[in-house]
Amino acid sequence: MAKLVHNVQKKQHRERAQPSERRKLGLLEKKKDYKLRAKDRHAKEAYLKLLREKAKNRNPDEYYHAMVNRTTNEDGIMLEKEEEPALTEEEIYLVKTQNATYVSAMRNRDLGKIRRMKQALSYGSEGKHTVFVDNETELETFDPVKFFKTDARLLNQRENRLKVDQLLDGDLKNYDQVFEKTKLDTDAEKLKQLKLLKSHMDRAKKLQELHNEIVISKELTKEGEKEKLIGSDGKPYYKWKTQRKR
Amino acid sequence: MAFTPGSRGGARGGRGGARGGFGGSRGGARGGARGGFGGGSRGGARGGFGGGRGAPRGGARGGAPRGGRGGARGGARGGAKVVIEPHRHAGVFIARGKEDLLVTKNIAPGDSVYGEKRISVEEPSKEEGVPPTKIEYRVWNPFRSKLAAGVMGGLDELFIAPGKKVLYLGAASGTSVSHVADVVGPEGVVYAVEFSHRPGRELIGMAKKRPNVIPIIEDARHPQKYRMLVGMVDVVFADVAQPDQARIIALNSHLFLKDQGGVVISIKANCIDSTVDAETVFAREVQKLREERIKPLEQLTLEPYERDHCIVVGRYMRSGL
Repeated sequence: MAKLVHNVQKKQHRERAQPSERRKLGLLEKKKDYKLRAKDRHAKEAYLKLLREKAKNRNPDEYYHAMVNRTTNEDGIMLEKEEEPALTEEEIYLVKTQNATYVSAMRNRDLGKIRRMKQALSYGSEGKHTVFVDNETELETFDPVKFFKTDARLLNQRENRLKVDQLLDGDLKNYDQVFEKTKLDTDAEKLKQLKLLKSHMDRAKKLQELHNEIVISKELTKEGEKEKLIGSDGKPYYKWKTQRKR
Repeated sequence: MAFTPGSRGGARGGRGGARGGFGGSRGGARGGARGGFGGGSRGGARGGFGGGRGAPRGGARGGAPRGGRGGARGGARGGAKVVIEPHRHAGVFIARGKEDLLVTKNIAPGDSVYGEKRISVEEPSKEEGVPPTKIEYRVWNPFRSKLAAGVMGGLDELFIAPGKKVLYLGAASGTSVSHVADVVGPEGVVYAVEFSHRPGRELIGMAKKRPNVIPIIEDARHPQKYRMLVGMVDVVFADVAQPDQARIIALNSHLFLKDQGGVVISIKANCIDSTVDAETVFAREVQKLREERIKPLEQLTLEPYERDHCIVVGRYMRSGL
């Protein structure tokens, strides 16, 4: 049950804020914040004290397994002893084969998608267009607008340079409007599609690299003399000694 | 999809993620692409199939016309959003929708030749009170057809237009031929010559549904073998990819092509001479055409659709250049 106290009568409690000249020190610390900080510090102090105690009471003659199982490197950092692999070599080889097959299948899927998307997007033509003329004077006076019998604005729109009489047949102004409008619509859509295409292409490339990695690691498990080399791009590659097979 | 190159654990994580996404997009995209053509019983059945397949893997229901991410496949479906615009070349159109596509008016509606997308558009009738008619267009992919690549590249003169008679050398399985048949329309004729039997079978299958396509399974090097089938033509289109293609084209032009008729040739540099660079090959071929009374008008390389390919358009001058 709520207390029947008038709201106006209650004095609003406002917390003190960090003064502006001390703003650089962060938020003003309150008692509850201090308590948390102090508790944490005391816990750490207690733990350190415990560790010191243990170190002091250590028996130097006592044998620990960790003395043999674990070593430290030159910086004194403890090294874990490598565990026995859970899988046998054949199993690992099989898993690698499966991985490689799967990765290549995924890559093929991406390549198919890339091919289909490229077709759907139907990139504008970039081919070199040569027009044969009869003589030098025609070459000098060549005018593409006149040659294609089109409007100068449509000259760069290779896939459909409507002829002037076609434009006059319909309504040129009206046509322009339709053209501009749909062009904008499709440009945004096209950009989206191109971005998607790019992501697919990136992925296909990554998968190709991964596939190569797996295949090479598989090959490395086989017998044969090989040498690890570092390529000019800083990536390692392997060279096998050529061996004549019977 | 989670994907981390390097550690094995990371790679595995990627696996799980990829799978889920895969199932979804597959079921959805399939159902969407097919279902779009509604009406036909085949389209409907296919849509259902896609859905059934996608569903257990956690994909969107394929029955709905829009499922998963439409992306590349389900992109250009017919509907109110697609606007068909006229093209410079009569018989070819541009479909402006989610993406711009080169299309031709399907002469055999309800039928895809090689699995290309179709777009149905309602054309309002000019008379009062008559319901609008549906017109079906087929998407012409410049990555699959060199002629389409040439159109996208902005060839000035194509010679292939409604009502024209076309001799098409190197028809293969008739994928491009079907589009040429669309362009020339019911008034025109396409004589499609292909030597290999295997693609020839598909060509014949395609021609069965198109009355304006006459398939000829013969060697284009011997045009006298099919002279009884072919009349005078307005255009010779050649995509034969043979080292002696200029000769093949000349033989056919001399026999069938009318004076001032068009010659459109697709040249694959590698097939003519792989030892010199593409530009030289093209120049040599153009010179060969000149010697055969074909006056070159324009030349267009087909990047990015094809590498080291070009289309040469010429005019046949029977009485010499």
